[in-house]
Amino acid sequence: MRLISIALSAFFLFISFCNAGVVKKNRVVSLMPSYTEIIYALGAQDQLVGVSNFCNYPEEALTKEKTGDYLRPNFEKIYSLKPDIILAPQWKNSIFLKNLKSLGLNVVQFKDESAIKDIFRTIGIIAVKTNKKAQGKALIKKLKKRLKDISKKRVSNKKRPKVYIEVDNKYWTAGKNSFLSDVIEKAGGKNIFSDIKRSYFQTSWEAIIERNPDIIISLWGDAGDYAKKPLAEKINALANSRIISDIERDKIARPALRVFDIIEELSLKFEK
Amino acid sequence: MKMNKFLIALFVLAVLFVLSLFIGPTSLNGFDIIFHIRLPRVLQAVIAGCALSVAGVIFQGVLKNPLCDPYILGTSSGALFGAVLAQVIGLNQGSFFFYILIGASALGATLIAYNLAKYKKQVSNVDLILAGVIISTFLSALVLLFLSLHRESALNIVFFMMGGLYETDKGLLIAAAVLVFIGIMLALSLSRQLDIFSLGEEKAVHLGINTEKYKIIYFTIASLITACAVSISGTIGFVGLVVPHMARLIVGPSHFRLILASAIGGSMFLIVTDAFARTVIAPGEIPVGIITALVGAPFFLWLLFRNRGKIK
Repeated sequence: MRLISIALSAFFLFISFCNAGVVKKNRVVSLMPSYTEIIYALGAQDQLVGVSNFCNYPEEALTKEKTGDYLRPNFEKIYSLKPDIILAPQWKNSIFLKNLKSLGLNVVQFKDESAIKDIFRTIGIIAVKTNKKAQGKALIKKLKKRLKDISKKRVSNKKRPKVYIEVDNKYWTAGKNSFLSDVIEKAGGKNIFSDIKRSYFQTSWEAIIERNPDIIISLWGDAGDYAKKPLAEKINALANSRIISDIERDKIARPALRVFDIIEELSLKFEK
Repeated sequence: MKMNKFLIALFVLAVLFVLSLFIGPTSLNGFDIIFHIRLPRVLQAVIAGCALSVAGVIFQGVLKNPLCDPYILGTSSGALFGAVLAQVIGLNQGSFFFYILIGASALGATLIAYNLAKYKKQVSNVDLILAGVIISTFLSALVLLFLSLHRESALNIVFFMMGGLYETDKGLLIAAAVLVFIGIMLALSLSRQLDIFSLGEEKAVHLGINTEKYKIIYFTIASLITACAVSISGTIGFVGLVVPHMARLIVGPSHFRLILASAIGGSMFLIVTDAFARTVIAPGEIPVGIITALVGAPFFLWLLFRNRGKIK
């Protein structure tokens, strides 16, 4: 009896493999905007059947089925899309993974990107899962070359400006273990909190004054918000009005492709 | 009178005040840093500490309930709701109307709770606390609803809820200081009536006090100073509940002394906890509201157990 069932299942497995090769397209659900961007860059968008509510780039991604977001995935919706692969971040202390697996779904989890190089890892995995290995390799090569070109342009200028990045109001900033800290370093700046081995954390205005940044990047406010703080004139960035506040959060904070444009843009601004 | 106790307390407060000026997340101790950054912040701690504790004394006195504080009666949730409402209608944090809105909704929430509890011109304390908790829960639910729909502005609100002392506008600080000072003076001048209140409302009526009128006056004072504290520091919990009890253990039940002692004690408590909050993980910082609860709860328990049986 067991023999028969094994033989049968092997047979059906074989059939389904054949089918997959011929007619059945890979069905992918992406739960993070960065994965969605990478899928489009690899030209695998025809496999994409569902995206997260946050996936707004490229614009065509808005037309895909929405499946909630990574904090609150809509299991029913995801299941109804019959995905072969779900691309998901690592949920810490959450039952989501278990829930999805118990529905018999195949989840590919990515470690959180804490540096630019982790983007290459993500691209590599997505390329394999969507059968776009060659495109993946080419894309990674192109991006690495771009990074090199950006840093080459800078060689002449040895002085690296000290940069303070404010992610959110009330002095939320990026420590050494954060993705944005690496973005600053890759653009040729020096994060004033690169000695703090944490991810994102809350600091104080006093600590910022002590570390005296040459440039402030603000993802929430503008120059006026900083100018009115006490002793603002003591900070180089404010004395020389070097506040960068026109960077789109989605572009810089998502570990995908547009962050490379931002690195180039920042690199030019840092050099001035 | 044990006025020398207060002199000692005031002296300790002054010492803490000065000491905390020299403690900071950085090793900088220049005049500029102390004057422009730490001084306003320590003043903020003093004002918020005073306001929340005195509001606690008033609520506990009027309602004869030791569990009352601005959090339980819906006053703080009202203030928080005001802050969220300001976000919804696009008022900037820092604009004048932002604070008016906070003050109005703090008072509004308290008065709604009060009127809900009113039955046949009588307000039973149990009803009032129930009404306060319900208003509180309802407003918190509205705040959470807003958070779940508007994630972009969620962080701002969450920080506001955690309560912390950050740089505020100097004008606002002065305005809050003046209002809190007036509030405390009013409370002091009405402290005799508060003493009578704590004999029980029935006795107070027999002693010729218009209890309903005084309740409204006390609630207005308490809501006003709570709103001041919330405007400059977000919602800092535990101060209004714990400090009055500590003060009662030290100076006894007379409300004149209780209000003074709570004002001083609340200031000290926030000065110390804030000094801790801004230095312990420097250059990182912990919202002070978290510290007040972490430090306050065990300390309160210790006081309670030590005095078990001594005080009813």
